[in-house]
Amino acid sequence: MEILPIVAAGCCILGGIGTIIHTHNINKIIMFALLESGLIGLIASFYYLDVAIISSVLEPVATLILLLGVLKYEFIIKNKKKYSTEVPVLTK
Amino acid sequence: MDLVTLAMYVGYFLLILGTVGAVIGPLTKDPFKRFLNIEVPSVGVCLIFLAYNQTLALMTFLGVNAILTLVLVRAIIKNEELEE
Repeated sequence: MEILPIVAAGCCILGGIGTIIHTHNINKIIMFALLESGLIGLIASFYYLDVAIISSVLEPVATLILLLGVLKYEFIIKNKKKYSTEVPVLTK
Repeated sequence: MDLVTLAMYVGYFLLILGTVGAVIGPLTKDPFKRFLNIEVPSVGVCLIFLAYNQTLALMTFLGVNAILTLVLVRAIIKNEELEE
């Protein structure tokens, strides 16, 4: 057996465990990128190179969407904590 | 171990681990963290498609997954904006 599927399966398992047990959002996204890189390696070891092209185009797009989304989400959470509804805000 | 058997075992492991993590994982009151846990079983489903040689299903699932990420992140942010 070759070495690429073993390394890719190790990436998948480590990325899955890391995505579940990390608690900060940015760390979860980094471990998720490791998981999907393992998926691409396992697809390429099956010689499905057309699927590997599509996967390696779409995976950074999903990571980019998640990163922009988490930045906006944390900004909204911080602003809501600063101006909460118990304080009377006149400009509502 | 065979290549197909390896891919199938890793796929089932990720499916079970991701489902348990999305239901009773750490800090899943936050909907964004729960959504990031949901992404793990989707990769497991991709690996099971790969082990059973369903190439067209794998390609379609990867494409739909990227669009679903866009829609769900937008929905989570809009929900957080709208509730008080």
